[in-house]
Amino acid sequence: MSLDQILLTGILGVSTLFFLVRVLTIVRGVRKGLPEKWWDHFGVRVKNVVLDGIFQRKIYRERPAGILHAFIFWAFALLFFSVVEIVAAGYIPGYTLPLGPLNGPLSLGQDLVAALGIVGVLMAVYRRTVSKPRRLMHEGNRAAIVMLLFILTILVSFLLYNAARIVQDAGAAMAGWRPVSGLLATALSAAGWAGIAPGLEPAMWWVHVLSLFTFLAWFPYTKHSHIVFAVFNVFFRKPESPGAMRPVPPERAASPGAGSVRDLTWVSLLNAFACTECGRCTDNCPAHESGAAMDPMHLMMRLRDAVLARGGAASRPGASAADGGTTSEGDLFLAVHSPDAIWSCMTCYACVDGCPVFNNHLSKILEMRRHLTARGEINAGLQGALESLSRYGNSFKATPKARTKWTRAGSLAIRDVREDPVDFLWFVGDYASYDARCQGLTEHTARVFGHAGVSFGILHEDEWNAGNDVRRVGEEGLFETLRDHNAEAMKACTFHDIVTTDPHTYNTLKNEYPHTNGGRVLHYTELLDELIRSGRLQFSRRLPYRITYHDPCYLGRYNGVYDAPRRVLAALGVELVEMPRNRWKSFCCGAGGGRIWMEEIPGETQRPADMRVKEAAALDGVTVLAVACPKDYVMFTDAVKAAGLEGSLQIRDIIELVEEAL
Amino acid sequence: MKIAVILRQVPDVVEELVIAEDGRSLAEDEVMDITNEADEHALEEALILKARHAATVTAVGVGGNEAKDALAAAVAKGADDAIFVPIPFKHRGDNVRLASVLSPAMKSGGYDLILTGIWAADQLDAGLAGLLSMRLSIPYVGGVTSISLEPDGTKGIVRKEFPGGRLGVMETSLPAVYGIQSAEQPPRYVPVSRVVQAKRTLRVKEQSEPPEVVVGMRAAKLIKSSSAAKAEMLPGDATQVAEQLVRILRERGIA
Amino acid sequence: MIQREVVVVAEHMAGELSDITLEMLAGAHELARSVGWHLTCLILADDPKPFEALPLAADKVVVIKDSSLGAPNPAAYARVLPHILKDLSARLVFLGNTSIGVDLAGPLSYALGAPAISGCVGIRAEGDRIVVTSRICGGKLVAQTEQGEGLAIVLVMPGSFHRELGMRDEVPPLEVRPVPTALDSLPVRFVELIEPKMEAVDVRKIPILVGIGRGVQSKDNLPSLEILAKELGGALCATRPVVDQGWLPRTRQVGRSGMTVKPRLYLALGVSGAPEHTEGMKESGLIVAVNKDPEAPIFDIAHYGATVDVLELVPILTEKIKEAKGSQ
Repeated sequence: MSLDQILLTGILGVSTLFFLVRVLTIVRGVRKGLPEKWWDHFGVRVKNVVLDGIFQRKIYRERPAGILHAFIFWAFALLFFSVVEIVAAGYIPGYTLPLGPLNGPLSLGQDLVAALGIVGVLMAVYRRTVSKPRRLMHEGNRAAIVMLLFILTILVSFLLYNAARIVQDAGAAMAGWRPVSGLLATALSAAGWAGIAPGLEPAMWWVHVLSLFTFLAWFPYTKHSHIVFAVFNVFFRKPESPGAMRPVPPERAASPGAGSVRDLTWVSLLNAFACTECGRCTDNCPAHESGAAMDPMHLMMRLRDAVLARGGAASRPGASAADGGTTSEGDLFLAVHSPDAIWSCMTCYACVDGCPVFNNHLSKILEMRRHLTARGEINAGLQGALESLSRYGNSFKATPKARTKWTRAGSLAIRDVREDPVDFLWFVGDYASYDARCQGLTEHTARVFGHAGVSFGILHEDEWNAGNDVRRVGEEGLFETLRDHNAEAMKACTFHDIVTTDPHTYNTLKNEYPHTNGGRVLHYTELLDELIRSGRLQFSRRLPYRITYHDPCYLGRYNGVYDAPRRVLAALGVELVEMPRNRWKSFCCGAGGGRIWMEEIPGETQRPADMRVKEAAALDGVTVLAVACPKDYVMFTDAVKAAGLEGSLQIRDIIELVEEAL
Repeated sequence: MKIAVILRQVPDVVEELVIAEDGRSLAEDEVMDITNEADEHALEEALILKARHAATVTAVGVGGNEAKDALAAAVAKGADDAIFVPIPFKHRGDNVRLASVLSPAMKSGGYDLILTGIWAADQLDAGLAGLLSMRLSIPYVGGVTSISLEPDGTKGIVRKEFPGGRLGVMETSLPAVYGIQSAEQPPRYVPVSRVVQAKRTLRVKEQSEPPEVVVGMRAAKLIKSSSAAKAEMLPGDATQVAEQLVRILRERGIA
Repeated sequence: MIQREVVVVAEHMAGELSDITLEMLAGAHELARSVGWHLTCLILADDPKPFEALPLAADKVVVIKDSSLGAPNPAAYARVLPHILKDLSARLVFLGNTSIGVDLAGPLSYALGAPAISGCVGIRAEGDRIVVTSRICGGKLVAQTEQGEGLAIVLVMPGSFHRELGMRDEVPPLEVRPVPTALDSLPVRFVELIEPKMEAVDVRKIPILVGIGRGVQSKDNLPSLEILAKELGGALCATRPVVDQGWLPRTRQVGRSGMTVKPRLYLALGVSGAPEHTEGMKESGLIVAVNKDPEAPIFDIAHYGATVDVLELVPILTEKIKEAKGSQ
């Protein structure tokens, strides 16, 4: 072997070694996690990989990012073949892949993607240095730019290498199939530098090989490990609906949830190595924006460190969460996110929904909450609410008999679904029943249903809190008690479908309750939409308002219901101006995840609801913020007062607008 | 060190209270029982002492069958033993009688410390803690908000709340009875799954009433206080309202 | 009419009789007058001087003097009182339903073999029968107990009688007696009395609170509200939106994510009564609410309400209270 070849072999060897060591270290770290089934719903998983792993639909939500990433991605994908060829050429000069007639198109493809890849890299560098979108600024730019320069070097050296070859022997270098390299070759000749080609070729070859294999050795130690792990991450992600939490496995019943790295599943841990540090999660996080310590991106990054750590600060023996219990390695509350940060989450799903590699930050937060709740280390306000829920079936510390107080207003005749068969079981919900501000909305709803001839009934005092947020604060035992009670009560009734005005209730009934009678679970806007389209609900007037609409988290992001409420609003004749952050980008009101029950979270400087009403009030000429959730109604009504916007912005539930237009 | 905590079931005032036909008691089938709040604090204080001094805590549940649920919750929180003392409905709230029912078991139990709430929601007579201490001839301090015990278990030092935010520091020998005003930290939360588990595995010693029981007094009449659903609205302009207000405040001895 | 003996066991701190003592005297005096019974005010202290020239509404004042009675040691009281009460042939004994009185009820009841009736808000005598009205179960129930003959002990709730009626225009004769039994080897040793630290206002400890909500409209209106609170002998507290605006510190916030208070008087001004706030104050002894909106939910939990303009009411109310106090 020549010296060159020895050197090449050395580079290959060292680079491969670094690469393998790192990948194996990661795999070993990830395997610390608990088992998780990954072979179910195989077809769905494969589909996910194709649509989201390879075609990366989600990155296109932000068009420039989608384009530049596609350019770089496809450059990597196609140039893989050229790597084989180029390295082999180091041992067997003039080696080409034995692809026969496919060689031509392949070279064409490589040439084009290399050029596009360069464009992509330049776009990326521009974003990081000039346009500076906020979410990319959460982590330093230096490492990212160095990486981009490496990629640039790899791509440019590839093109120049082929350009040099073309200058020397256009035919052998398949110049016909390499338009971009050909262009460069022509430029070189035109500039009178054709003479450098014999020297340029090996030089570019070495630059290419060196930069490539340095990149190969280095990238798995950085966030670019997503190159390896993202596709797997997409494959392994849970196939069920976002709105369905997984129950505590029976073998973990004695100590549920996650306190250490070993309490999360390996799929969950894999997330940390698919994370690209893109910042979309933190950028859209309402808890983070309000000043709390929650930071989904850093949660992932610290988790990554915790998975790989051994014997480091994160696993000091004796270090523990609040109660002095024993710690296994990688105490999540010390190493990843503190209890305060964990409690500040509103479970709005913006992080998971925004993540292009389909990481699930929320499931970790929820597992950590299960751990805290099991030890009673809960936010003080939460204790009162949970004890009230456990005892009275509602969080208001009110007697179950008062649940139906709203039915006694005026001339409402509400049927009892326990006695009469009806079409719709109306699961009213806690806030709609007990909160004085929401009771009016519930009455409106009953009247509209009556007007439209909907056959409905309610469970009266047999209805307990559906348990959505109870589950999401980690009280799985209480959730099961509530769910089992409600399911029993419903089993004894005769009805077709369930309808509710509360998106939280909707979410858990639809995704987490056993379905005994095969009917649907509808949000009231979905029902109204159907009634309007079938002509059973008609309006006598058009409302002349200029309004905006807030997409509730549990209706929109969790369950994909964006259009039904908008169709209802359109039918009312209002002029709808979209919120700057609408649909899947909707900014949470701050009530979810049990936050509405909790006491102050430290660090909070501005409440999400205040920020959201200001966002609405800033819209030109908009006087009404329409909502479709009782908790949104409560939160925004308070926020309007606190922000001093009483004269300028009205909060109205869609049902109020519907009744007005009847 | 052995600590006993007496947990009484009292009527839950969140629910509607219904007077029985005899006009001097509550209607038994309408009453929902809840553990007396001050007794919850007593249990919390006992558990705090248990953690500090490696003591055992015996929870004594007094009342109807709901007392057994309270015992399960107490065990789930960390109590070591559970004793159920059923009390017929018509005798609930009678602390004189309760003291005579409990004293034999409290005496024979060999407890170093007996804790209970300083008052019960349904109490009409003197507090249980004081009466119990007299029957057992052991020291008593009420209104306690914190306890510290000598390591050899012979003395207890308590802080007792006095009016005006003052605190009295007092020392007694042990065994003693302390009436708890509030524990050093709010009663802890115990997850539902743990209580459900405790209910399933609960082993309760049931204690029947001793032959000699003293009966205290009962109300001659019981009525619901006239709490109208809404406030009594004061008519007139600002001056007239102010005058009426001052009159009301003076009647109540507030201004 | 057989003359019987009513005894009010006085509570005092730092040489001053507590309000509850005067209230008890007011109630006892009225009862004694109605049936021609004799009323003694019983004071256990280490020094009779502070109590010497007080125009109390009692027929006689008896001071039991002993150096061990300087500190409010419940065990000392419990040892001394049975003897004295027997000496005085007490038929009816008044104790405060306070942290001091509650300690004595059990031991006295047991030692004297007499029933102790707690939560008393009203009392009257019908011939030789004593009828006591008590509030139990969070104030939701009113119980009436009757006691025929024999000694009865009553624990009186603060605020049940008018303090000023516990005083009159003459000074009753005062007698000083020594302790009837030795006060050594008490089961409880009084170590020390810790005075409260005068830090920032703790709204939980203040018996009279003026709660302000957004209805008071502007921070500029605070000074007149402070004056009103002061005249009432209380302090200001607030709902969350007010605190969020920065008008008052967070320690004044009452409600779900603030303090829970149970003052004797909660005067809610411009407070709408959202559950997050009312949770923190709905158990107050007397709730008076003023809000422009007659449908405001605060009226569901208030005892008295008015829909006049808060800002108009405040100065007038302050004046009238000043007048009322001045005429005492």
